[in-house]
Amino acid sequence: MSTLSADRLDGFQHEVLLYEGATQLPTRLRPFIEAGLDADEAVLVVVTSDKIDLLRDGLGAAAKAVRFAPMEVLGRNPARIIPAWREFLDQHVAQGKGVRGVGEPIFRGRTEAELDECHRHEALLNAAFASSPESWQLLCPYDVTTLDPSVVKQAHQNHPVVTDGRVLQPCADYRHDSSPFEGELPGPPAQHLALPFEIGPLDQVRAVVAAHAQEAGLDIERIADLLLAVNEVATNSLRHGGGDGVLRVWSEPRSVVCQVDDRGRIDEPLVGRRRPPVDSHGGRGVWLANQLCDLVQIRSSAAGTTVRLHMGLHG
Amino acid sequence: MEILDRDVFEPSGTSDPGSHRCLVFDDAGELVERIVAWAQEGFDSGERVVYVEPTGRGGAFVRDLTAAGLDLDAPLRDGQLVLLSAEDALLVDGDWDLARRMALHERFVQDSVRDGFAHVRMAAEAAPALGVIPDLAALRAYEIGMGRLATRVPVSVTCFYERQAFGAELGRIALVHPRGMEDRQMRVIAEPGHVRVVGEVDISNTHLMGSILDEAVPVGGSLVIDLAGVSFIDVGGAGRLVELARRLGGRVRVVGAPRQLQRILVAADWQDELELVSGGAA
Repeated sequence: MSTLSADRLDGFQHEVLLYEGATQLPTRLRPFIEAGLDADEAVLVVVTSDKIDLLRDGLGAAAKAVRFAPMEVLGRNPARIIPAWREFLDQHVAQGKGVRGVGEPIFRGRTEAELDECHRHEALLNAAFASSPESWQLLCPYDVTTLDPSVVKQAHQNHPVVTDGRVLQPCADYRHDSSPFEGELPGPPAQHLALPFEIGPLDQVRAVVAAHAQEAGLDIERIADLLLAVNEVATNSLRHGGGDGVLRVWSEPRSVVCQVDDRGRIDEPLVGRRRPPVDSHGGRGVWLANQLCDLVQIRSSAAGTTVRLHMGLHG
Repeated sequence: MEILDRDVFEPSGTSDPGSHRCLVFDDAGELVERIVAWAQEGFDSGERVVYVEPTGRGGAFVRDLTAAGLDLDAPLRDGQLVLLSAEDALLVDGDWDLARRMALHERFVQDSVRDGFAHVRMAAEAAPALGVIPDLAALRAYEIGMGRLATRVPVSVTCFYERQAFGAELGRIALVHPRGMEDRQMRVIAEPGHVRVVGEVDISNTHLMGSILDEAVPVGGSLVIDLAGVSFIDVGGAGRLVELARRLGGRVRVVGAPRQLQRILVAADWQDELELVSGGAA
């Protein structure tokens, strides 16, 4: 198995690294980061702000050449992470420069739903970059002292390669065949607003969402964003989902949730995670929802599709 | 043509004297709902209510309104409710004679005032009329005539257009209605070179908005689109504006763009394709 010297890589290497406590992180990441800097690669580290501070202190001089981005902002909605890596790649590959990255999507404070979507995002990284021509490495650190063993187990299922910081090995538990849309979401609360809708004006759909969001205390700009996102998802139901659907709306302790169910099927794994070309007709609904909402969950099968949009009460 | 301009988007069913409204509907249920509201309001305000019953509908108006709970016996008896056939409303002794027809309408309104009705409200479905008048050009001439009539005598006119039956033709028809054309969600007021959109634009009416915009582009000239009154527009609606701007090589200016539109343009990488002008109406 290759080590982290200057060996030529073939394609995308998606690696999981286990570490024990945040204070270890700078030491554990140093070999990976320095190998990139030595090879004149652009290095981007996306972790939470507190860890950025730790790394800046712990990496010393090396930190100056590293780009940092706060995960709790960039990846608040995990679906925005893949497009961010794509953009980073495109930027530097265009200049003939290699890249490598560190990404830690899971952090303290993630809700159960966000955690679920983080796992799906990790699995999707493989599909997103496996067939790209660029060779690059993305290392995902997981802190075994703070994460549930089930989370660590899923990390092994989502990464083809495991690293200890220097040596790479194939990951025995890696699942090739996961779908981002498999499984079912936990049901809505017993009491929730349900509104069937069909081909025609969607003014009622929007009015219901606006009224509920206003009562929940969402600020006016986020209400407008949520309306747009729900409208686009409902429009997709009319266009591609069989011509009708059901809107459900409810509140959770920290967010307003809007769900659209229809009879259609989504089978493009990266839907909403690739920037639509300027000239394309349509295909922007889920992309827009991902830009506007704090979390978007999609489950789809032969039985139909569910899209659940979350908007936090505090932005 | 006198343009009667109002900032407030009137809810359906409202019709004040001097107004000429053009309403787009999608299905029979919606049409009945609007006619009932329109008639009820007329009765309540003591107006003479004149409805042009589509030829061959066999009393559907009376049936539908009675089913909705309106009492029509008294208005029919007192002459407050008048039902006309399309032929009576559009032709003169079976012939197309627009000038004479308008004169007769004017006399009818003046007679109604003498009968004690301070105002008259008239409504008709446009599609059945097409079976009676020569062609679409004649229909537009009739619409223009009725619009002018409404500024001279106390009559309000409402025309109902079925969206699917007329399709893109609605673009041209909208331009002959000074008060614009409206459906359940939006109103579009258009004249060559300037279009104002009020209300909400989504999958159900982007096509209609687009048809009117297309029709309002002056040959070789540019188009100003006033969106200050738009409370909602979706990606499809924004895309339609961008498509128009591309087709016209940029000769499109948007005034009063809602924040939502700017959000969409940024997310779709369309910021450079549509010129947004800040400030009030052009």
